[in-house]
Amino acid sequence: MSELLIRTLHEHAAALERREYSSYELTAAMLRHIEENDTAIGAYLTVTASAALNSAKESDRRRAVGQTCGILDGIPFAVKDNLCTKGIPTTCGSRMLDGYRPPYDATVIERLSRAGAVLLGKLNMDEFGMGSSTEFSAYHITRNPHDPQRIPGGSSGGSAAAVAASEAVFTLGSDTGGSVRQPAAFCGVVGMKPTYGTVSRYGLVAFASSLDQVGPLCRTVWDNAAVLSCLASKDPKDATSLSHPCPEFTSQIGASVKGLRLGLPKEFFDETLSSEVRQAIEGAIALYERMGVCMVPVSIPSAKSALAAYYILSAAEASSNLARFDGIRYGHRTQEYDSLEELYRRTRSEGFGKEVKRRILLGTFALSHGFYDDYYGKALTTRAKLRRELDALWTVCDALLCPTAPTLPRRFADRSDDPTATYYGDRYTVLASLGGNPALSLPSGTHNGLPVGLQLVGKAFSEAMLYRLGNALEQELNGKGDTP
Amino acid sequence: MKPSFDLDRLAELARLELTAEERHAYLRDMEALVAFADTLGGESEPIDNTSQFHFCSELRADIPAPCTPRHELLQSSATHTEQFFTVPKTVAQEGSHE
Repeated sequence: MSELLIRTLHEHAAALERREYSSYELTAAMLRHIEENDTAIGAYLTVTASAALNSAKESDRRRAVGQTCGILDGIPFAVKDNLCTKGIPTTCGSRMLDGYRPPYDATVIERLSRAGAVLLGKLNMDEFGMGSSTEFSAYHITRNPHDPQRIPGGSSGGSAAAVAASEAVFTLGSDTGGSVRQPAAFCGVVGMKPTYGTVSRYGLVAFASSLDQVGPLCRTVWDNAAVLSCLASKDPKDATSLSHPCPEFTSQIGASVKGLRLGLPKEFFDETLSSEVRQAIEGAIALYERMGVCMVPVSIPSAKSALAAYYILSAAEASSNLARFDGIRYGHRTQEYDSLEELYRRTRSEGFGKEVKRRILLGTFALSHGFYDDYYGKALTTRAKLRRELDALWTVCDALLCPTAPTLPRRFADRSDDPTATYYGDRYTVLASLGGNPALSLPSGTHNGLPVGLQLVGKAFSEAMLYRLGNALEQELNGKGDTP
Repeated sequence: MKPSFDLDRLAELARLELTAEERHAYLRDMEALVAFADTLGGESEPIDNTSQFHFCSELRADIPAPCTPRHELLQSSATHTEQFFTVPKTVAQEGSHE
């Protein structure tokens, strides 16, 4: 692989500024690499080569006349296929939206476009974001660039694999219960789920609206912070986006971490944590201690119920959000029907895959008469308790440190038919999702060539400090992302 | 003891048709998932439904703005006329038993 392709965003931006190469040359090289390499990885669902080259030419033209828009100008990127892109297929990894071309761009796409970034295409994902392996895409699987026999994680598996395989400089994913962080961990890249409301959800096809957030995946912590700085803003088109002032997220990077306190939740270091992951995380803890970071044992009693609460709440919201897919206004429509009801039922039964149907049924169950209080109501109560417990923690520590996932990425052949066995893999990530807190996953070492991800969870709007902590570890590990 | 769920009723509410094979598989999955969901402890407490958004947000001003052109929206539909989405008849015609 060309050395050019494994450079970081920071390095590309500096090189473009020096006119070492043009955005057109970089984009063309990346498109060639995608063409040669992606049949083996399967990160992309759609490649927009012609539009990308045109955007790159525009960027070069701006640069030639001194009108560059900033650090992302001319940088090739790609996005998960649940972000609406005007006139470009947006399938959500589902047959339900096969061929759908949205009439508008998501706000994050608009912002990156205004910043001059070059869209390479759309990335594979578990259908509607429901899954942790990208095996639930209706189109094809995505392979882990570190070991093609293993999963890349999910649901933003295409987004993580594309960065790890140098098929994009950065990507966007969406994170509902860990869908940016877990694939970032499995593919050895840096993934951020920002504080709920930091990034607009307008144009993100909804899975669970109270949990969904868009987040960047990059080679390095600095790159991730730079992309998030471009994305974060109040958006009048998303009532849940916040007007909280967002700092330049790279601002604290490089500052000393001495004296910061990291909480170690005892519930996340029990016997269910695999020895390979434990070893890497303990290595990272030792490095932090050498940097003068204080480790504080903490407890989050509601963490044991968090996973069940997450699956009930997200399924309930999904069952409501996905009711819009009825074959009338967009997407798949069944060919044979005699009545409106039959049109709805057949369209949905043909269009949705197995996992999506399973979650819709679970969500319908949790919201139905006779079960609402016992399931949906209790899940809301658990979420509220968890929030209170997390809020109390910020008086004794600055952030939490824990693994991103309890195991290494599994082989495709080791897939379990038991849905709950798969769901247990999300037990470290759903905490920040339910709390609305920011959480950063970054590489913390490898085991037999497979990356291990570490997660830093902070209080609301503490992204800059998480990046500072993440960068400190990255520097100690001398990493700029693992290149398979 | 909690009442058990009725998968056929759930499928009806969710507007899904299940084949016999799917029905068998989802019955098994749902039993496992409901047992998993039962790990939720404690009692349901009254919760402010907006508490999930625990940071203050503000709604935009209610000012009319241009919307997406009709023809662009209609293009996303599998079947449509020049002006409308098309759906099967839902009101019986005079003399018809449908």
